[in-house]
Amino acid sequence: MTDMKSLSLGQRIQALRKQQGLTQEALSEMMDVSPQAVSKWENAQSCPDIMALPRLANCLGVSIDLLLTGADAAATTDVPARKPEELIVRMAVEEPGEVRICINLPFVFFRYAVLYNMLSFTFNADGDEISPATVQALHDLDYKAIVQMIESGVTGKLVDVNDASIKLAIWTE
Amino acid sequence: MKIRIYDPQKDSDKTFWLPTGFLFSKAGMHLLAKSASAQARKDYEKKLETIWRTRDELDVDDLVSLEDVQQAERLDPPITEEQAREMFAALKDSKYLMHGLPLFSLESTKGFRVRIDL
Repeated sequence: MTDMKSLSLGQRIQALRKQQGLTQEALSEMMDVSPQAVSKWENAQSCPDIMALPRLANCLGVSIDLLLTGADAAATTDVPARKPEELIVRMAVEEPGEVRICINLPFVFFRYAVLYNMLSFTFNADGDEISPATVQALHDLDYKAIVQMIESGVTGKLVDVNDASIKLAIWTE
Repeated sequence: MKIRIYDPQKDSDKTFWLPTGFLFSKAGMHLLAKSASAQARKDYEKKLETIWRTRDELDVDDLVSLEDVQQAERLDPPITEEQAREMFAALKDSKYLMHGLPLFSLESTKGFRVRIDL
């Protein structure tokens, strides 16, 4: 296990990104920046914008404290949890060497889309799908369980599929 | 709803607007589902390549033909009118949460990009 405290911010971003199984391109897409920007962060040529830190920490699955200092704060302050209605459900699907698709839906809308089976409808049109592996992965997901998890207060990364033919992640922000 | 398409070969992008309500029409929902297919993506890319070479401006008619709409109209609606109204209202009312995030984005390895913002 890497000692995060001994690393520079750029090295820490790189180590955490790899721990999450993300490429620079994948992280850049999640952050809505260019892959070059991520490369510059990791090579200490620039720093992420301060306003981007909450999202970066979320993408890397750590707290802002851990991202910036390499250690979680000893004493933490309880931050009121955001209501599910204030969350965005983010989905990233990547077919390596082909295409990367990101979908960002307000939770309230996502809940309706699940309730009315619109996700299954959209991802399975006329049997002419994105690719069999992708459709299988999307169909294997229990969207109702995802809705329940979010409604019960679970946030952050909810789904993480990573194999040779598909990468699929669902998380909340 | 703003749709922006970037062509890496031209190193330029084109933008056009579509009423968000179109997504919840029968035609809109079937076309959305169709656009998720690999074949449709290739068809659109081909169609766009032609448009890019021949036109300065892009409009909805370039992407959605009368035949597309007529074909969709013959199919069953995936949700009821009431459900469509609920979904449309949910999307409109929570637009402020997006903070610049696109509703949808696609990037192919060739550098072709599509981005849809509310």
